[in-house]
Amino acid sequence: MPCHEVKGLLSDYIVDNVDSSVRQTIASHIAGCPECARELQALQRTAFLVNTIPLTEPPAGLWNKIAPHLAEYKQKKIGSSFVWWNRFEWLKLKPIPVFASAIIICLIIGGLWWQHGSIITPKPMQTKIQPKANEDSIELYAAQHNAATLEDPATDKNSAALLLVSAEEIN
Amino acid sequence: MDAVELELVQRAKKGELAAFEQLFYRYQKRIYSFILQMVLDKDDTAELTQDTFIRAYHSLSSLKSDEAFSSWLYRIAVNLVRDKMRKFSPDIESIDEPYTDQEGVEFKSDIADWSANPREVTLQSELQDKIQTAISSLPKLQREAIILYHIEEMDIEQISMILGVPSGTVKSRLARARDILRIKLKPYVSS
Repeated sequence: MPCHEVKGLLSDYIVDNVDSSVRQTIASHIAGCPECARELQALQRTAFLVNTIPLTEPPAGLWNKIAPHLAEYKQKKIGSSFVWWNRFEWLKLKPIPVFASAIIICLIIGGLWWQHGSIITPKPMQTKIQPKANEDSIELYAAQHNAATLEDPATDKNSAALLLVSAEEIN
Repeated sequence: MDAVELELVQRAKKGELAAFEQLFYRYQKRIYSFILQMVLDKDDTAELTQDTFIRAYHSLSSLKSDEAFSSWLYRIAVNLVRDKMRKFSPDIESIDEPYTDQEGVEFKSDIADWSANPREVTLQSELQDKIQTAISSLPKLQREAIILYHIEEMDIEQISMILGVPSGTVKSRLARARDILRIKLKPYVSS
């Protein structure tokens, strides 16, 4: 390999950026060529000189300029994590089971509401009130009605109304 | 990365500001030096160093490998520097190359040819100034490689990670940069 080619490859040779065969060729060329050997030394000296450049000391108080920004960011981040819906972020991890569970819960609650609602909602009174012949039968009817609707908070009013209706019918 | 630093990274990722502060003090000098070598302005360097650490803190959660914190931090610095240099001088690859202003006037940075009078330069600090100037005259991609390899003392693999290029590309940039520096610093390197 001629000198000009070797010189052109010396920088790559130093940083091990050549094939092993080329590396071998350059090494043997340098061994017998003082001029290329000097060029190699010059390049090595260049690298050495650049290595002597020290790191530069930064100005004092750099952290004090950064810290408020970081603290503010941290505060915002913490603040945002306290928004109530952020507490349910984990729900996004398994959407299908969460959705299925939500439907099941809705069905259960809906069923209970429907059943319970039908129990607590008083059905309209279908019993036809038979007119009574005298006051004794009216009192007996009222007593029976009171016993039947003992747990109904509207019992007293119902009873009073029934008494009035029955009395009017008798009259 | 040592165990202490690894723990600091993990604690900082959990939002512990004190841990990040310790990481800052471990890296501020290196990051500051790298940026200064690239942008050559102390005010810009201080600002970019702050931006590097602020951005790092904001995006710590995106750091996949805690062991790669160092390379990741440098990568943030490299990107910020590149953005800054692009905005500041979009057409200038190195300060050796002429550039044209908005009115079409061509400028050329005046880089001294140090080979002219080597005997005048004897003091070590002056020599370092010459080396600094020679480095600053390199095209920016080569300059990045030279600074990370020689001044920040990183290995080829780490530089490859930081710059996001194959190690062969890093070696080529280093080789071309040394060729240029070899010419710029001829009086001090020739035997």
